[in-house]
Amino acid sequence: MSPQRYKDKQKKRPDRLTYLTTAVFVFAGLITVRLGDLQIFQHSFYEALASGQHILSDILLPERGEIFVKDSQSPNKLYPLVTNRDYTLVFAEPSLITEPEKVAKLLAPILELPEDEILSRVTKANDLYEPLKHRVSDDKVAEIKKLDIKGIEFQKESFRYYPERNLGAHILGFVGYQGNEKIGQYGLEGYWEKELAGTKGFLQAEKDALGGLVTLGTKLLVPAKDGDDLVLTIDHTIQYEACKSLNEEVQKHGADGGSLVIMEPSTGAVISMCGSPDYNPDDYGETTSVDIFLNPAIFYIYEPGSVFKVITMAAAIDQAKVTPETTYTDTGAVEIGKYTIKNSDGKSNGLQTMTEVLEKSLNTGAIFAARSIGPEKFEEYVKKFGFGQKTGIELNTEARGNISSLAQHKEIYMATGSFGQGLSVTLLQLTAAFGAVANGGQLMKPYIVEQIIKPDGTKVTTEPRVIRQVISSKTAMTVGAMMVNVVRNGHGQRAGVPGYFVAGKTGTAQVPNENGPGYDPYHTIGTFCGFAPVEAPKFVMCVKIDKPKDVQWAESSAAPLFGKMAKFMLNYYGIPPSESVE
Amino acid sequence: MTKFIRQKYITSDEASRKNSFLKRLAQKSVALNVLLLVLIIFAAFSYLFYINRTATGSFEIKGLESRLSQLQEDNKKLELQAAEIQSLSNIEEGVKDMDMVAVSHIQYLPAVGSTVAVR
Repeated sequence: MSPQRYKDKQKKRPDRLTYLTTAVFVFAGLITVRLGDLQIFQHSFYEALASGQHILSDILLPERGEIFVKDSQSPNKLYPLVTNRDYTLVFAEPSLITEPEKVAKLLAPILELPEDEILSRVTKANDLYEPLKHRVSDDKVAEIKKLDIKGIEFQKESFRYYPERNLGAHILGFVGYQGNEKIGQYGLEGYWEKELAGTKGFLQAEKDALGGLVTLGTKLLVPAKDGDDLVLTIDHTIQYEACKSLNEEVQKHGADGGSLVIMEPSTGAVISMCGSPDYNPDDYGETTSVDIFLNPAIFYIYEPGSVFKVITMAAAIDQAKVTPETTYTDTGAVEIGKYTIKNSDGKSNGLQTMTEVLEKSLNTGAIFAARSIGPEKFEEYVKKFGFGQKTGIELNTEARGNISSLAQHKEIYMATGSFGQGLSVTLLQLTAAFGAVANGGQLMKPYIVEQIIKPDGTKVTTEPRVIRQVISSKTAMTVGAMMVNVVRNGHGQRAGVPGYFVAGKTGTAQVPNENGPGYDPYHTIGTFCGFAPVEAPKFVMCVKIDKPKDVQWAESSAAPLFGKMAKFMLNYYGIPPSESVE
Repeated sequence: MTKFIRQKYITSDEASRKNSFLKRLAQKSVALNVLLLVLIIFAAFSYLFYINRTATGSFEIKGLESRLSQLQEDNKKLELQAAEIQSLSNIEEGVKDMDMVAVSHIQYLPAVGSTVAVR
């Protein structure tokens, strides 16, 4: 080969540098294609995959609002009835536990769980998270931490806590689970769920290798909004004394249950509301029946019996059809069509005044007063006193009662209704109606939440609301005086407090048969409603004892409890007696 | 006559003036470059210092936040303890332990009597 041809050939053949350059370009091209695939076509997938490594995403849980009560002796101090308490959840990561038998043996006495149960949980294959026990106290957590067991971890969790245990359980309700969500149920927790629960927040931020937040990283924060706090109208001390006394009285009489409501007549503020038997909302899961969660003062409707004679008498006096001195002849029975209605004791008392009708609780006298105004007016007054409709108290499960029989305007229904049979009411409705008599004839709307405290500290205070003027103030004063006579001379003597003018009325209601018409001959419900002192009522109270076993009449079941609580409250409020006591 | 042709007729004096101007310009641009470099280095160090201080600050904030949450937790525990101690059932137990009894009779005294003495 000539040198010239060799040179030409050398020129034509690509040198090694060209090969290398080509290789680099091809390689770079492949990388570009791959990067394009990863970053453009599979962008969403890898972004999601990477976000778990360097993005912290979390739902921020708000703190549930607390519920407080006050005490009239120290009005600026708040006592928590419901608050939040941090506990610890102890959980296992079974895949990290090498000696499950030993772990179960060590943890069983501390967590107070059977060893077998722990063992079965910590040996679950392919399980990354196995809760062992909720609500573990700090002491026990410290004890477990000392053991330094690999695969046993801890997580903070918040639960409702009730420092006063059973006190006001029926008012409060509890926070239970609906699926995985915590939801307020019954009472205030149910009614105010939205306000108490607050609003969840959200945090998305970059995290460093150790899991901490990167200060200068991008951050998306929607803060959680804590729930509102509630301050109740309930008086701490009166509530405690009332609920304790009610429970004692229910036990003493072997009664099925009982309830009690105390209200401030001039405002409608509920000072106390108790039900018996009660429960500890901390252990709501351990109760045997859901019936116990229902607030008997607002949920259970019943035929109130003779306490209703006060309503009948108020209506008749307000219509100027009778006065306390109006007389009628009590023959012991009244015939209405095919029905004969008798007095509770079956006796005839001859000429009787309207005051004596209340003192002796005469059914015939109540019918006389009701007849004087007629069925239409009688129904109108019953409605005006708030019966047959919800009071609107801010608690779940309030019932409206049933006065539908009166709408028929038949004499027989008016007659039975005049002494509290054939219609049904709640104890709160009765208390509000008696409150109207105590408050110069003005019916006030009962309320239990005095103040709502927002997370930013702003306060929303409930203003008392007048529903309507039911009877004139003169009628109210007259009926109040007649009720004082009931306590001084009639069936309500055991509700009296020496030195004070206490107004009240007993009611021994028959219990309708569960299977068919008529009434249960063996059981009664004793009610006492009243207020004191009559010249400037500070409280109105209704007490109910369901089916007492040792006594039949309300004067022996409900009246003594009323008297005990009335005495306590008059002393508690420092109200001096109206007359000297011998 | 174009601009380029005119250039040919520039005198030697003018040429030397032009050269000294370019030299001065070159010297100035070196100074400018040095100044820019110093500024960049200063900015870089400032940035580093700022970032460092922020990072240190954030650690301090984290420490304080953690202390705050610990104090809040302790405060909450104490509040709960106080609530438990102040619960009326506990107080009633305490009253029993101290052998205290409830008041059985209260006597109210009138604030002002019906008769008053005159000096």
